[in-house]
Amino acid sequence: MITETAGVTEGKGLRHELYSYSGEAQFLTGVMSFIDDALAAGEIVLVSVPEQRERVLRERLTGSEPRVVFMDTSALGRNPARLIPAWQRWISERAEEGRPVRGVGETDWNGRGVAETAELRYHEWLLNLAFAASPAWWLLCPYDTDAVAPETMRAVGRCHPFVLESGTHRQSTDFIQEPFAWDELEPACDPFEELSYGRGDLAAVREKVAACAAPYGLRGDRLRETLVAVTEVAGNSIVHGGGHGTLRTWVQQGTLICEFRDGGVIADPMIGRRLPASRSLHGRGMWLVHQLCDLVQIRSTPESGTIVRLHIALPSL
Amino acid sequence: MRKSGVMPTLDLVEVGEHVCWIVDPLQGYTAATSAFLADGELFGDKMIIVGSPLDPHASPRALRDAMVVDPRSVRGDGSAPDMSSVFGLVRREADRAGRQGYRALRVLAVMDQLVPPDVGTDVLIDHELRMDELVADNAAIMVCAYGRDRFGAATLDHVACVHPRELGNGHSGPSFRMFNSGPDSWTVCGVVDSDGAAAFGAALAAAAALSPALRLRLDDLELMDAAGMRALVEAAAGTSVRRITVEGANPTVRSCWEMLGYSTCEVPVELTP
Repeated sequence: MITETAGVTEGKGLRHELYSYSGEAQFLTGVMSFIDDALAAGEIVLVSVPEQRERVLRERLTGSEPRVVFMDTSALGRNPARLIPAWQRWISERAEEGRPVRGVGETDWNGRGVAETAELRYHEWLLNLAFAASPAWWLLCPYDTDAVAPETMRAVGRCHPFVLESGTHRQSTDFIQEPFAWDELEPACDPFEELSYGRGDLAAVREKVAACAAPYGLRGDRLRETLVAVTEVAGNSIVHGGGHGTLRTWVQQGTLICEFRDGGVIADPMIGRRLPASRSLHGRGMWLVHQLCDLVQIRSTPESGTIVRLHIALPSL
Repeated sequence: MRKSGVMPTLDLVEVGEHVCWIVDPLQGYTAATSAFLADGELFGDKMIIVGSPLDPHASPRALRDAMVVDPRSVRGDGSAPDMSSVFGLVRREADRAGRQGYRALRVLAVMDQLVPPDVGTDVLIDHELRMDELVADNAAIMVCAYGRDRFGAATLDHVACVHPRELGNGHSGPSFRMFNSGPDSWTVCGVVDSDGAAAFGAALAAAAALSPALRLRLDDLELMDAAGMRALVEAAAGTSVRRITVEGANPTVRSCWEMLGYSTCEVPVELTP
C-alpha cells in the first residue's frame, strides 16, 4: 500500500512524524505502509520498537528483507538521552552506504514514571533540534494511545511537525515551534540527605552517595559507575557552576536520586547527548553521566541556576 | 609489591619506601627526624640529610652519623634549581652504601631548602617520580619533607600524588597515588577525578619522559572520571610517548573508557586485562 503525502517538501534534516494508533492491527497498518513506501523508493528502514511490536513486524515481513534493519535498543537501557546518539550512529553508518534512510522509533512506555515521561517528551522535542542540519531522513514515531496517557499524547503531539493520520502523511496542526516548557520537578522525598561541596570535596560527595546507597544493596560495579557519575556532576559545579554546590540524596520507588544544585547555567539543550567528537577531548563528562545513569534530569536557567538529578535504579532486595 | 598509603610515623618506614612528609609549622622536624635517624643507626643504614640541620636544637647525637649535604652545593646557582644534581647525589650514595656494607641508604630531603616555593609542580613531580624509580630500584629509603607554610596547598597535593607513602593521619592524602612498580611500569591507585587530573597528567608526562613505552598498573585504582581519562589520552598524544599500556583496570574503568569513545580512537593507549 502506498500512502498519500500531503504538504511535504523535500529538504535537509529530519522529517519527524507522529503516528497515533490503537492496538496491534492499527500499528501494523501504519508502520507497514511506511515501510512499503520506503522499500518502493529504494530506501533503507531502521526499526527500533518494543520487542512485542518487533515480533509482529517480523512476522509480517515475509522472507528476509535486508533493507529493513531491526535495531537492538536493549543495550541502551531506559535513559531516553541515549536514543538521539544511537539514531545518529545508525543513520551515519547507513548513510555511508549511500542510500536514503527512514526510521521507525517507538518507546516502551511500560512502567514509566513521571520523571521518565517528562524526559521522553523532551527527547521528542530535541529530535527536531538534533537533526535540523542532518542529511534528510524520515522518522515515524508510533504511539499507542491505549498505553500512553492523553495529556502525554497532547504534549508529544506538539513536538512532531508531521503526522500520519488515516493513511495520509501531512503537516501537523498541533506542532508548536517554541522553547521547551518543562514541568516542575517533583519535590525531593523527605527524608533526604544534604551536603554542601566545593573544591577538594569530591571524595566527600562520593562518600555521601555511597553511604546513602549502601543500605539498598548498591555495590560493586554499579556503585562505582554511580560514583563516577556523581563525581562528574559535582566536578562540573566546581569548575563551571560557581565553585560550589549542594547535593541532596534520597531514595524513591526503588531509585536512588542524587540532586546537584549550583549557580551555573547550562545553555546547551543537547549537553551529553552528542556522540563524542574525535577532534575534541573536552565536554565528555555529561555524555558519560547519561551513559551511566538510568535517567538524568537537567533544569537550568540564568535566574535559578542549574539542577541536575541523577536516577539510579536500585537492585531488588 | 610496594606498599602505598598514609603512615602515622616514620618508625614504620621500610627499605624501598618513598615518603612524602608535609610538615606543619608547629609540628617541627625534631621528633620525627630524630627517630628516623635513630632507626637508621639501629638498622645500619647510611644516612644523608639534604639540607641544613633541620632544627637548631637537634641533638649532636641525632646528627652524629648523618652526612649533612649543604643544599647550595646541589641545587646550583641558577634561578631554577638543578634537580638532576640532587638525583645524581642520591644515586651515587645509594651505590656507595651497598659497597660500604650498609643495609640501605636513608635520605631525608628538606625540600624547603632545595627548591623555591614557586618552582612549579611539573618540576617537582618530575623530580619525585625519578626519585621514586631510583628508590624502588635500590636499597634506599627516601623521605621528602615539604613545609606546609612554604608551598601552596595545590602544590603539596600534587607532590603527595607521586609518593607511594605519606606521613600523616588516616584522613589526609591525595585522591590518587602514582609510583614505580618495575621497569617502565607505574602503579596508579585511589581515584583520579577532576581534582587530581592535572597532577595525573603531569605525572604521566614525567613518567613518559623516563620511558616512552609506559605500562600503567591500575589494579588498585577505584575509579577514573572523564577528566582523568582525558589526561591519559592527552599524555599519550604527547610527543615523547610511543605507547601507554594499561593493565588491571576494573570493569568500571574499562567501560567508561569505551563509553567515552577512546577504545576506537587513534590514541596510543591500549587497555589489556
